Amino acid sequence: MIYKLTYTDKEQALADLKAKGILVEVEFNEEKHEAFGSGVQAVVEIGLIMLTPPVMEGMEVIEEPIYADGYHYDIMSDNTYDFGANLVEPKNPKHAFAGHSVKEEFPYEPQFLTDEN
Amino acid sequence: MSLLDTASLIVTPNGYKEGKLYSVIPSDGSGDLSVTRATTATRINSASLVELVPYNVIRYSQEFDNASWSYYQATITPNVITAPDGTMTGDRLNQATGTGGNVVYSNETLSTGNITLSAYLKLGTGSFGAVSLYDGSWKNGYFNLTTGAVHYTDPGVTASIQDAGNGWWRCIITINSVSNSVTTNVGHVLNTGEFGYIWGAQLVEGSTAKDYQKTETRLNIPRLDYSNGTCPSLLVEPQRTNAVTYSEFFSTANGYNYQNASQSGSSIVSPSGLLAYGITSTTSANDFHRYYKTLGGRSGVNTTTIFAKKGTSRYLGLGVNQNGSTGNNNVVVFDLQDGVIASNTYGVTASIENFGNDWYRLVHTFDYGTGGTYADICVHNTGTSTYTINAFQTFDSPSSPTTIYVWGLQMEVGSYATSYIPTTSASVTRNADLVTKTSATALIGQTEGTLFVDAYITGKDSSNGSILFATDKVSSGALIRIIYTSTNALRFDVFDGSSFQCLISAGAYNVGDRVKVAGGYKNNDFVMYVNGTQIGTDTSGSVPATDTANINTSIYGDTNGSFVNAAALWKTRLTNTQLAQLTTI
Repeated sequence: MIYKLTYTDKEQALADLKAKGILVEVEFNEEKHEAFGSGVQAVVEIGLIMLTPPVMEGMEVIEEPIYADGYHYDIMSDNTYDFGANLVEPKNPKHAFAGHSVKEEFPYEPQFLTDEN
Repeated sequence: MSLLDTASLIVTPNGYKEGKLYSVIPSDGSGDLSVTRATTATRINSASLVELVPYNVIRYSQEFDNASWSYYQATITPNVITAPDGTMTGDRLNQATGTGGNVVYSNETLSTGNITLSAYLKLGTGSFGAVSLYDGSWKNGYFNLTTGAVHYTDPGVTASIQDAGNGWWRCIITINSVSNSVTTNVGHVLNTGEFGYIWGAQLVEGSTAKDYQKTETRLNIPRLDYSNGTCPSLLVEPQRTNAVTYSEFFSTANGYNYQNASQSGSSIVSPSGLLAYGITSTTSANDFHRYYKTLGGRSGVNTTTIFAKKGTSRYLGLGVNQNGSTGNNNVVVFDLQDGVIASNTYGVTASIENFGNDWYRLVHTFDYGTGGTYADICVHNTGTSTYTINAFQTFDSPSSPTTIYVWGLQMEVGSYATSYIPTTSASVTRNADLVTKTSATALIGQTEGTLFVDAYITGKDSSNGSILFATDKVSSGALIRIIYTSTNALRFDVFDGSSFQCLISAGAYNVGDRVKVAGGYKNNDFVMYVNGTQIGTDTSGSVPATDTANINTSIYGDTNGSFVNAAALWKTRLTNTQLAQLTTI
């Protein structure tokens, strides 16, 4: 299952992902590093989502970029989680997993052959 | 009996299906490895082209009763007739509620441009077969399944029909899609109570139908990659995300900005066998001749890659920057004629790789540090290697408009480039490849044994190195592995869950090197061989029990990458003579 998540900032996101066992701390030979929890296929840090790029002249910024609210992650996991208000359903996602649908499906209204064709 | 005949497990890039890599030994299925990625990916195919894995975009391509399909005025009775491949997998499509068009349909995502939909249809009691695509408007093709002829096509549709034998016809349509998301229709034109047969739907990029490729989920297919020659390697990689949207379509509508340059029409064949675009300088002024793409904020080490081919210009400059800052001096100029770096004034980590047909993949690695709020990738048509740099900017003065060809732009977090990840309107993640055999106690030497791997080294991220082959056990934390370390050495180590029992390491090996590595283990008797030479021994230590074999990962969650030609286990510590023989290149 794919979860699209929005948090206030990166710190809040990491705290929630660790609390849910999506990110876990692993110790090997007295060194610790972060790994995915059991059943988690991917954790993708999307970060800030830029809605409007900066306006530039040469490399001089005339207008600063505009960002969507929040700090964003996508999760793919076999497990079921309750993310509450952090779970979002964007209509035009800025991130996808390879081989999985990016956009909403078209309404299905087929047009078939008529007798005149 | 040869040495290989005595192995308890041998895996090569040979037989596979979705989610599984078959072992050569044992051959009864008890050694088959599971393959998990949960995404599609790309590989270099036997024709040296970048190819989607699988190239058939449709899921469950011959199981029309699967939930991935929807139905319009139709029902499906599965597996009622012999299919074109001789299996009893042909489905019957029954008229349900209406007439004139009775189909199964699905929604799929792929790039704009030419796409080709095909399906095998067989006459039942109806008259015509129907194959259609919707990319904002319907593009229909109708086929006479009695005479084997194209009956009707909508404008913009190219259709053909091929005899597949035994009454089956492969019905094919090609359109120039203007959408990244399309709906497919496959079915028949039926009246009340009528039915027809369907099998083997396929949607591919390009205007050729390609050989039919059966799919299920499409997500866990092992990648047999031909980057290293005519024999395939198993390509395993870590999770990576291409942050660049519209990675093959560099138009202003897709967010690319041009300065003193313009996008040329698609006129030459890209590394994927489709079409690539050019960048043509539009002035002769001493100035930028480039395009750039602005991304969200980046941090840490990022690797940018692009495929490029010389046109009337042979030089391409590739650089990145942050927040429009002038502090990031990193433009590298590549010579697309001689396949070398023409200029690397700032000592950037960069390389150029020949992809054949005069295409090169250019690699540029840059550390964004703590990061910024946005970043740019700049692709310059420098026209000449004798360019002028103003801060991080690349100027040149072409005497006339010149063109270079580009395709497949990618920026990923990491210190080395991985396989190309195509994108459309969103950034795209390819998950890590996990190739694992669990419950493998019977295949792994528990008190003595040998690990062997034959692989080409790819990159590794700095801290963890790259595991080539390992056995481990979750409950104890035990691990026996062969690893390419962060210091470019090869290492054989044995970890009992709390301390190393053996640690043999030596050498300096480079990305692209082919290595044959073996580690023999037995209480107080450990040895490592690389390419026919003994690297070292360890005469003190015990052997922990392990129960899982892994390519590319371990229980500690560190996934990396390599091209694996073979991996094998023995339940005895082979003799030194045997290890030398086994590892000789």
